[in-house]
Amino acid sequence: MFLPVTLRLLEGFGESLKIFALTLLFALPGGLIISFGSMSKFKPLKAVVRFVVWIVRGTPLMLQLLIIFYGPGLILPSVAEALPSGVVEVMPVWLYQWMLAPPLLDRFAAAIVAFSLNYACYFSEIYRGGIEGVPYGQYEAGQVLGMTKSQVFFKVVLMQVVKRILAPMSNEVITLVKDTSLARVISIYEIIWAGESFIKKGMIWPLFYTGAFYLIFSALLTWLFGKFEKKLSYYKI
Amino acid sequence: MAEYMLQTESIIKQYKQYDTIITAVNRVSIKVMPGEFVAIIGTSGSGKSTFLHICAGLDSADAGRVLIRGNDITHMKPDELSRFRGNYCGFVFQRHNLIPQFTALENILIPTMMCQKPEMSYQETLRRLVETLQISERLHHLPSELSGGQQQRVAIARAMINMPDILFADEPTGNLDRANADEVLRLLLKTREEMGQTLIMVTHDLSIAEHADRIFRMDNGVLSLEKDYSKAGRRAFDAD
Repeated sequence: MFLPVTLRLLEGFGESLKIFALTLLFALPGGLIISFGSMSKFKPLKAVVRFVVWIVRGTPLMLQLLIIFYGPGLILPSVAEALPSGVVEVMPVWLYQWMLAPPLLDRFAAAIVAFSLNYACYFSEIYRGGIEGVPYGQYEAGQVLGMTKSQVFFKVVLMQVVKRILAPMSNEVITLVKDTSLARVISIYEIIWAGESFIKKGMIWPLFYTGAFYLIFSALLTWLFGKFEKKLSYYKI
Repeated sequence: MAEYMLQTESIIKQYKQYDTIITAVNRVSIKVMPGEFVAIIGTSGSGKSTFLHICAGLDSADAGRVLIRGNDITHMKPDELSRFRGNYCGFVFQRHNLIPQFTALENILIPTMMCQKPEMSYQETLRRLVETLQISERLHHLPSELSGGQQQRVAIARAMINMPDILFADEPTGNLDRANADEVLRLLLKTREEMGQTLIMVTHDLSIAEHADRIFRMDNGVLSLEKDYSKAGRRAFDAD
């Protein structure tokens, strides 16, 4: 029984890993962009970005998954129906029809959107801490050496930011591995669901067994982060 | 070539602190000849560092102009200013501001990569700087592996590698103990003598300022001439 269960769980874990990898792919650069927004000197932009970050960090990821997957289909048609006839007459027909019957977001795509947005917001705060922690003298030094602003950021500051944020990032990344299990609220067949499905057959141990997959994978990540940290430890800040 | 290496015209810089407006730099005008060593002394908070930063284009003035070699830097775009600075200006900070992930040698060579001066041989300049500043043994070390005095000497080499026409120094020995400070200063002045740069130095240390051609005092944002050891000024002083 052990082998078929393992294979089934592996199938589910494959889906978990897909969510994990795609979330990192979008959230790592996305977080950097959001952090620029939250540090912007243009106050309205800063206010909007910080508001969004507050919403995203202040509500459960599970709720966000549900809203992003089901929200458009529930909200847009009722909004369209509630529109006064004057507005409906002037708005393009295609837009009205699109609002009445919005295309359903693919489950997996919805999960990636929700996870990426959520993690990008968390990452952005880590980035912001890292960027603001780099002494101002480093920017000045870069400038007097003849670097342009972007050269200062990419050649001088970014590397120091990476070093500063490595520990908090490893925390978040490991949390992400486990958070992928939330995707089953919008019916994505990930490993916890795969384990749970054995309960119907009277077996509880496959569900517990899923823990081993998470453990092994986070051990791998811890090891990777350790290596990376060692690689960057050649200099002190 | 312009007559003056550095010329400022009525520089004003104000800060708002809560509800009060503080005038850090109040209509400061100064003219510095090529090759001159000018020291600016004053208590902390007198605005001397702010003024130096404005002269080097690291901070913007609210009013007035800064001309370096006759070029108005106050109206340059940021990237244009960066290139100009890289070519003509050097800056030594109070804290060395070396880039921690690069070795001493890499730090020194950054300006040569950013601003190409094709007519110049960096090898020769590097050799001379390393020799004068006595850092040849430490070139392949990271900044964190150097002592405070060594870090500052590397920072001086980095500021000088492009053979800038003008060197700005903001309390370059402020973080060092007396012995180290004297040594770094001696080396800085020796290097400058060899290369013939204009030097504008902010310091609160009068014994350092005594090496300058002219000493200015900054007091509540107002700059006044304190001592003039240059040309006629020096003769008058010797007669005292």
